[in-house]
Amino acid sequence: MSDGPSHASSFDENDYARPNQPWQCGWAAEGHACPLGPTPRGLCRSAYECSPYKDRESWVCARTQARGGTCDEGPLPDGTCCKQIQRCQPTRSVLSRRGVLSFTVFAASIALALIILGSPNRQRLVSPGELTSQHSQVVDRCEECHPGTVSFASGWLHDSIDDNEAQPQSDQCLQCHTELGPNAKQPHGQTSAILAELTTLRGKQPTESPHRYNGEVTTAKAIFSQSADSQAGLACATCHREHRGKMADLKALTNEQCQVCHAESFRGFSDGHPAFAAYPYKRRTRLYFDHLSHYGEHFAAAETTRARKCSDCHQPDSAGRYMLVKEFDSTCAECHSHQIQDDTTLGIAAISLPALDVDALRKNGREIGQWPRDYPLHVEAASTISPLQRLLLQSYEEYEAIQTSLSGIDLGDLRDADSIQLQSVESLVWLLKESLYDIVKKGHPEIHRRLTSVLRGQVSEPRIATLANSYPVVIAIEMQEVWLPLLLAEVEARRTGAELPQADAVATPGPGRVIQKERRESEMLASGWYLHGSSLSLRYRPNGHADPLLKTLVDISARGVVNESRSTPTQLTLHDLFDQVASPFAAGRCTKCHSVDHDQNTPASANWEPYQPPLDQHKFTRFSHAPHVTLLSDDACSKCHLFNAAPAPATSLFRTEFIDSRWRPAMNPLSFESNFISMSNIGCAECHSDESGRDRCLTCHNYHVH
Amino acid sequence: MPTFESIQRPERWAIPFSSEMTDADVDRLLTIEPFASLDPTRFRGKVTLRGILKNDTRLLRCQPGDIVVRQGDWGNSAFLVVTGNVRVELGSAANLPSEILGHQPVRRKSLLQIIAQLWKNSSEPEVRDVAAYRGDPRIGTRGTGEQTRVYLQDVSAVLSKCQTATIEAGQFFGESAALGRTPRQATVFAERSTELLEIRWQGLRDLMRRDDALQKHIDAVFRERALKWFLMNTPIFHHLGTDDINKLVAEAKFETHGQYDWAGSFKQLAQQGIDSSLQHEPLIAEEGNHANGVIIVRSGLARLSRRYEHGHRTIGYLTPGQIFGLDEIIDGWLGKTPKPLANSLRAIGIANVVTIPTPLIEKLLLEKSDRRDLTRRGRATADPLANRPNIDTTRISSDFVEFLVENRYINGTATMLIDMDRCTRCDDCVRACASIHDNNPRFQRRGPIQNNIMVAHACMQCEDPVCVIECPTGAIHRQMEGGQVVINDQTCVGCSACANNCPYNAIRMVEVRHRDGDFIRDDVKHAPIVKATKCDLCSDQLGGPACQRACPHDALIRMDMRDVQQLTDWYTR
Amino acid sequence: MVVVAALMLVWCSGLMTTSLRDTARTSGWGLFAMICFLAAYNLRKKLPFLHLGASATWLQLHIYFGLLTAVVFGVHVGWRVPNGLVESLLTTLYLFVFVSGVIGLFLSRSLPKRLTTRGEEVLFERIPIYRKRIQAEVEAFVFDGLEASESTAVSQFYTDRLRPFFSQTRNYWQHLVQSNRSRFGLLKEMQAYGRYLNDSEREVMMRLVTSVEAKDDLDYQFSLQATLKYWLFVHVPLTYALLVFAVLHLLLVSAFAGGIS
Repeated sequence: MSDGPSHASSFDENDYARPNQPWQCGWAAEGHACPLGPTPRGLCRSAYECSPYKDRESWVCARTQARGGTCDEGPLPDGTCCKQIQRCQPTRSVLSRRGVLSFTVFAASIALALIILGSPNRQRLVSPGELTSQHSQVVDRCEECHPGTVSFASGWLHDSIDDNEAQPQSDQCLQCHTELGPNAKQPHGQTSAILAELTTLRGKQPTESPHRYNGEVTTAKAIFSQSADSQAGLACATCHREHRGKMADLKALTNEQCQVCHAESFRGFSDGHPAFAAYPYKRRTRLYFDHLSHYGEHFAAAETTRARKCSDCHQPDSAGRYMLVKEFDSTCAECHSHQIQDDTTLGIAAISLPALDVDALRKNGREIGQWPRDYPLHVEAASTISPLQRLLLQSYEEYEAIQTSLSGIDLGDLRDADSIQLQSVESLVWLLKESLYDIVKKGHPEIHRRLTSVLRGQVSEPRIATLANSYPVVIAIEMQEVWLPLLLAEVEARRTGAELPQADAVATPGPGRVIQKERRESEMLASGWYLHGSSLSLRYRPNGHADPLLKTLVDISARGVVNESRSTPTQLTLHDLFDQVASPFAAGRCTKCHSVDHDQNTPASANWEPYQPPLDQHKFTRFSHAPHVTLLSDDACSKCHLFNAAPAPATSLFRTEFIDSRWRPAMNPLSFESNFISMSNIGCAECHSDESGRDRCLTCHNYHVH
Repeated sequence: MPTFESIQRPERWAIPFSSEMTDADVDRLLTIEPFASLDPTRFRGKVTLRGILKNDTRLLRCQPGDIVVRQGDWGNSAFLVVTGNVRVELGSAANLPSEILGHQPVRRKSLLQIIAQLWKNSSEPEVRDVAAYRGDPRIGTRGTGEQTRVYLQDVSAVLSKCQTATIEAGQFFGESAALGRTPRQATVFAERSTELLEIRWQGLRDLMRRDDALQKHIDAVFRERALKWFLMNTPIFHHLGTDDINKLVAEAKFETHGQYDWAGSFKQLAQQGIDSSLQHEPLIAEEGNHANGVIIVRSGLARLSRRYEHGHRTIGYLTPGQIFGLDEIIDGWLGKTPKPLANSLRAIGIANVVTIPTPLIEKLLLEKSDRRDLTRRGRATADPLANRPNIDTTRISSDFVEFLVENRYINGTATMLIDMDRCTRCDDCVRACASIHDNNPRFQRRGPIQNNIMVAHACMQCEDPVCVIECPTGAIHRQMEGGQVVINDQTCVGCSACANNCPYNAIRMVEVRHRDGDFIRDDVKHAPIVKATKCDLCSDQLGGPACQRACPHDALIRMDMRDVQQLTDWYTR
Repeated sequence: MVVVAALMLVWCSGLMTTSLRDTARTSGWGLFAMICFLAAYNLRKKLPFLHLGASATWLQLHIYFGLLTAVVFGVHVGWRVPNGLVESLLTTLYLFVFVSGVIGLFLSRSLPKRLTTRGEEVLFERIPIYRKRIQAEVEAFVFDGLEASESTAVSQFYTDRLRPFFSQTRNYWQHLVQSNRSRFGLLKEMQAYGRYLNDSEREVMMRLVTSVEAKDDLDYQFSLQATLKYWLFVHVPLTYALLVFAVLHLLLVSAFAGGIS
């Protein structure tokens, strides 16, 4: 056998290529891989090319033909093959190298992950991004917003496994954002009941411009409908996504996103937004001011140099949202103050001595003691008792009986009155004297006591006090001294049952008195109280705008305006008083401008102030005048507030929505006809159009209502 | 007999069938039937009866139980019982366990076993379980190398178990498989110590030519056993009745073209360059001649060629079951004038063909069927008359066809073709193969490339598997079901006869190892034990060949070359 | 088809954002699922004996889904550059894996065709063997030639110019970009050198030329085949890293969930 090729060139083209083996013989690249090849672990099993066998005492080479046949040298004496295969450094196959690399990268990334989780400032490392500048100032640890998560990685893992409901997270937000109200997590911060009600209301309103169908919203609703009425409510994160960098806008919401929850959907404010319903004139103005007649007549007539601009009477509030009415003095006063302090009116009678048919009484032997006789001075004396006085008399229990028996009797003419009536007239006279005696003798405390006894429960204590204290006791004494000098004696005598002091029937005031009288007159006028001789009464006239007593009287008497069919005597009296003081012709003419509101469930009340904007409230809609006014030209207001008729002279003295046909204040604030056409959104849409980008829902609407 | 000595040995006997045949044996044989009664005068020229016996036969002495032929084996010789007798096993293979025949049992892996390959696969290449070689006690082998024989230990038990028939002295068996180049139909084993005369098919052919009795006998047997069945299963005769079939059987001519052991000579051809191959392919029918019958390929392969300029252009090939010359006959019949053949038909390697004479075809097929159908036949591929082996050369380039035919890849039923324009050389196919075969690849991602199509060195499961012919133990065999050619590692003796026979370099001899990675050596000469390995089409796995499934780029396919349509579609996809 | 799917995804995510849903969560899970599926392709390659469908089908899906992830990813991060550490890391990893995948796709579609056009097909592992063979036989006939002729011109030229060329693979990138510059240059040089040689030496030179070409073709094969293998050295390992950090991200996110429906 020739010495075939040694393993050094034994590469056989036809051997199976074994790319599946992780290790190759190191010699393979040299072209002579050894037949055995490395171990699976990649160790070279250096071996001999053959393992000789013993053939009767001599070793024979066992190399096969395939490996080159038996060699010439033959085995060594000790029976080992003479050709040892050199050791090699096995090489990895391509795939195996890739495997090693993959494993390394895998391990490395796991290590990195663990490092991140384990590092002391892991919170910063795992943070998915910066908070907004506002939040980043107050929040610096995860668990402040993510309550479930303790600050340890283990805790995170745990939380990731059990799905912690996110509401606690929202609660965390609400701990700071208390302004959002009790049920902030409900849609619009309203209970689902209210929402439902609003929806039905909206449904009732006819949509003037039929809203155009918004495809995106509708499909979105169809596919992923939000459950609005879930008890848990909506998580804050539904709209406010944090960790989007310092400058991120947490409130950014598209019109579509607003609309997915809503029943109706439309394209935008300019396209399909429901038309305004009687906006913004929901009720008559609190102050009765007829813009039409003023522009049409009064301003023109008034000989004044001032131009009549809206801004003369109106100005924005400090926040610039609402347009307010300026002070009285700078607006209405110029024309209307003289109407308030008008000395042509008699004013309101507090105490009066009714004109009595003294002769009839005397003839029938009725003893009334001293009483002013018919006298040219007394022509205006009324034969009735003023409501304010009746209020006081009602504190005397016998008065009610007297009143009933005297109903329909004219005190001035008792010629055909029967004896019982005369009897009650007598006792009425003495009751009057008693009351006057009490005023004169006991003064304010007594008045206060008596008024309280009558009005308690219907009128507030302070008002009663105001009224009581405003009684002019001094002047009452004067009145008694002038017209019933013997009153004190008479009353005391009658109480003791003694003989009545007789005096000259005609009480003539002494000259000294007269001098005193002048002085007192002036004092009286200053205080607004005065004695009115010709009507034998003590009266009151206001001194100017916002007179406290009159306001009190109106407020008190308004309590008498009630809907109950059977009303108490007090209420009747109050109602009479109301008719007296709330008449547009009454002294002060309060109700000529100040409307009185009254409906089924609230007692009547006068509007002393024009509309007062509520402090920081979040309604569904917000409108701010200031920017619009400044934005627009000088006649800004008329862009939106259009007269509903041409300004013209007043056809009637009073418009019926304020003063009814019986010259009493109309009290229903809702039945009215505004001076202005209610607005349409067309005008708004001119500026707030789609292309301007100023027609976002959130431009005019608040989501969080409270 | 000096005269006799002087006779020069005929060429074809340069290598005698067996070197052990002595003149004494020949003399003895000449005294027994049927040779005794043969008429020597019929043997003229070089081929003498003596010569045949000396060179084309060998004597086998079998102990009781020795298995002579196994069912499913591919044999190239017939047997004559000289003394003693043999048993032929009747009925199906179920009677004798295939393990006993030295075959591998067809056993699919269960899902669990399949998954188990994940961790069970050994990390060392070519690991074998030595214990398994110690052997299945039921399998006994005698002799070594080519002479190895499998035998039944307990003949009487087998006899009692399965029904068998006796073949007495003087009778032939195994001839139809030898001539028809088809698998053995039954297993034959010696009942008592028996002497058999094995005659290789060339010898048998010559004997038949000279002895009408023998001719008749074998012919009759063949027609009865094989030809009838074959014709009945030929599509164009499906609709014929039994008596018509019998007419066909009666008149059919049966011929064999080419050399039996073409594989060897093909390898030599391959060395000297493939171009000359046409001369080595015997003509079956020549272009331009009158079609004297429809030729049906029964086994082997045939080339369809047409004269083109100074050469022949291959326009297709015939695989078993396909027919030749029908078109010409039909056209001739329709046109009343006989049409010459459009193509030549050549045997590639070896081809057994059956010729049905033209008149018979016209009588049985054409006259029965409607003229119009015949004129527009072939539109519907279902039509059996539309059987066309021709390749559409407009879709598939002719050089590729030539390449396939000349290298005889058309022999494959699962040829591994790789589209090198798609293949990223990722070796996924190889790894998949390895992971299924205990971490050993069973093919090589190498091979000749033509038109960017590589024919890889993977067993292509030949239509005509020459590898199985000379296996002494039947370790390499066709599976009864599925028909894959597989190697039973247990019974493989590593003689590498198959590997040498395979013309496609698809069988590899490997040195097997212990689990620890050392070679398993034989106890005498310490030479590593080698085993033949090759692709088994993952026959023990679910879902077919893993290589094809593992290719990410759809570049690899196991192509059945008989399906010309599939081939063309794949090529032109 | 991919494009259509992508558009669908974007549209859907738009709707979800509109309806104030937690788009990030949905897309995130989707993305994670897709990436897991894509990674599973490697697993399928490791289990060829299981019934997991043809690898080709897997690859197709792998490609389609891979391209889709780009869109889903964009949706997930809201087409912004994330500013958290882990998030940035994830993004970088993803981009690397994605881009390498796209490049790989391009390579494995284009290189095979080029491989078939030049040089003979060789197994990648065996390229060094062939290289050594060529070198060995070249040196053999060069130095045999040396003994024959007394002049050392050829051998000198070989040792100076050609040994470095033969002794290892060269011009990796040139071959990758299909440039024959250096090959052409070398051949020109050899041709020019011919004028100093006698006939026998010129003969040797001619043989050298052929082997130079053979070696160059071998380098070409190496360069392309290596590229076909090595792009996966980026794609696969980074995928594992991506998976790790994806899981980390998942844990963190679900731990700090804002609880949006």
